[in-house]
Amino acid sequence: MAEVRLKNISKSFAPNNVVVNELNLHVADKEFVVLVGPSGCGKSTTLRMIAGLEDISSGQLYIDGKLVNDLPPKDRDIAMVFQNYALYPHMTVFENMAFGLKLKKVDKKVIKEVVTQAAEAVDMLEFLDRKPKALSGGQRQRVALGRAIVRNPKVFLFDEPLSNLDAKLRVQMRIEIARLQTRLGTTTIYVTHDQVEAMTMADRIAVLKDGILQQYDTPLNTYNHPKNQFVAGFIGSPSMNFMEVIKDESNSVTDPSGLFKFKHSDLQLPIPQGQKVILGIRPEDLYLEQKSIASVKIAVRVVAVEPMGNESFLHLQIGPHLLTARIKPDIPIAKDNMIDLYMPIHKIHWFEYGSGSSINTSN
Amino acid sequence: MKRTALYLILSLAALIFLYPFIWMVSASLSSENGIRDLRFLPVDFTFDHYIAVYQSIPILRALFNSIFVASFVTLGVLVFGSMTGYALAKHRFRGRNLIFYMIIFTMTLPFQITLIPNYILMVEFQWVNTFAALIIPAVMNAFAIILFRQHFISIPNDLIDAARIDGCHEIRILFQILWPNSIPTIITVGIITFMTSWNDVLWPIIVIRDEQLMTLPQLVTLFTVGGRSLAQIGVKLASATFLALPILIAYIIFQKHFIQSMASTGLKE
Ligand SMILES: Nc1ncnc2c1ncn2[C@@H]1O[C@H](COP(=O)(O)OP(=O)(O)OP(=O)(O)O)[C@@H](O)[C@H]1O
Ligand SMILES: [Mg+2]
Repeated sequence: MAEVRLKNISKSFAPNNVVVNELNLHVADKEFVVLVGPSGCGKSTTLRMIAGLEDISSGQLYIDGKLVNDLPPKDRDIAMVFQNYALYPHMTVFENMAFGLKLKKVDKKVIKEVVTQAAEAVDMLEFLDRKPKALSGGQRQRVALGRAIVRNPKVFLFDEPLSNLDAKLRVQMRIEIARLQTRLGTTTIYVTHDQVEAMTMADRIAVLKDGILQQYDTPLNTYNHPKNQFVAGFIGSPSMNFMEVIKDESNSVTDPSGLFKFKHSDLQLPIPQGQKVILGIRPEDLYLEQKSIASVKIAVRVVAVEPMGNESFLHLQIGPHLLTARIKPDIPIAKDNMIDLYMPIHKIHWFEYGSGSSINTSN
Repeated sequence: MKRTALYLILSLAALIFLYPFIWMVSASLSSENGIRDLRFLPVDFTFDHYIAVYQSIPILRALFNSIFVASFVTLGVLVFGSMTGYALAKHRFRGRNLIFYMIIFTMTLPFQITLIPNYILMVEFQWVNTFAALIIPAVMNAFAIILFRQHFISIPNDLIDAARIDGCHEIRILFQILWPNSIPTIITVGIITFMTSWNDVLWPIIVIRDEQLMTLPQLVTLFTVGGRSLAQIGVKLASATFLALPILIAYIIFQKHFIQSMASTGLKE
């Protein structure tokens, strides 16, 4: 169907206020790409530029190989689903879905057919005569989805479509959208705050920060091989633990104030001695017992225990650092105790102090 | 007990407001001699005064003129007021706030200040003694612009963006997306504009001299208190009743909307 290519796309609303900075992104045909990043990082702005709702300050945007910078939204062959549904309140579900086609002067019979099909796809067939006001949030978002399908666009654009729904509905809709996208094979760009949505729906995740692309990779790669400390901390929940340490003489790192020291023959860091470095470890990579892999021991104080039912989170303290560990639910651990944890060395992520870039240790 | 007293007071107040009007109607239907009695019901019931009015001034023609002028003014105010309000509410452009404050500023000017300049403009345009002088200066209305702007601000941007993606141009967005979701505002602006235009006397007196083009209030005012006024009070009252009638009918029809539009804040989603 269509690929989307962003070439050095920048956007500023005012001089010296760059919201999206030299963004390069290639979304392949049929691909599902998720844009994530903290609030205000430019996700919506990027999406709106692709939709044609916002001017592109500089750079080129290609949809299906065609430069579309100056095309109005309706001629870009895209469909967009908004967070607050954006259904026309004065029109019925049918009219909402049919409106775009009506403006295109499509034959009435064809409209009826297409709308009926779309309504069936989103399971809203019995509500065609209702006004949006008489629908639940989930149903409204289904109608919005149906309206997008009716256009049979080259690209679907979603801006946090599920964040107004409750948790259960969100899971259900997430699965439905993913299934629909696979069936229709429509290239999709999807903005979300939700980690799970990003991990489960995406073919590739684009992580943005301050309008700059941090990493663009498959979900598992962004999780397992984050390019920098920001991506490492942003992807994953609870997020990765970070400790600022100093590379010591031989195969060891120490806390700057000497509170703890990690030493192991496998601990090889390609940085000069005495240099600061960021150690990152995911909560699930902190073990209560030593496994048969190379690990370092770390003595921590338990600050709080959060039983989640299927797992438990331990909030821990070592020196000035607060860490989180994710453990099995039924292990009895009391608050305020000192315990030992084990950190497998190959699970540790290292980041340059200052720049935050990932340090490759797999020499 | 307390309730009864309350109703009594309220009824009395209502009577005080209504009495002059009731008296006007009943007096206009009384014989010239019966008028002085200040009764509720007509004395010596007669239509003579109405017939006299009809015979001495082109009152039906004036009624038509008034309806014509007030309708076009209202239509113009709704169209241009909502257009300007839409631009001010939803479009980003340089000087947007400056323009908005200037529009508010024009509202604070008493109309006496602009009366003479406006009249000179009408003379220069050679619009004196035409309907253009009554309609065109009235179609841009600061009050309507502000009301529309405030309402449109409450309509989510995404709705407009969705319409753009569906293929709407700005005019279509305004009339097919915003208007249907602004009914209370449209009715409020419509009623107030229509009434203001209908009741205006001063401006028509300044720019219209041809009796065939005069509006109803203008004609009636000239007839009852102007240089050509007649001595009999019954005829004056009959013409005044005639003047009040259309606006009264309009109010009765739109009363529900009027109260609703004042009470509700409009579209919530
Ligand atoms: N119309 C506008 N005028 C000026 N600045 C704007 C405008 N729209 C967005 N911005 C700014 O651009 C930046 C990026 O906004 P954007 O809406 O793209 O963020 P986002 O990543 O979608 O955030 P969120 O996750 O909160 O939705 C923000 O700092 C915002 O204040
Ligand atoms: Mg956003």
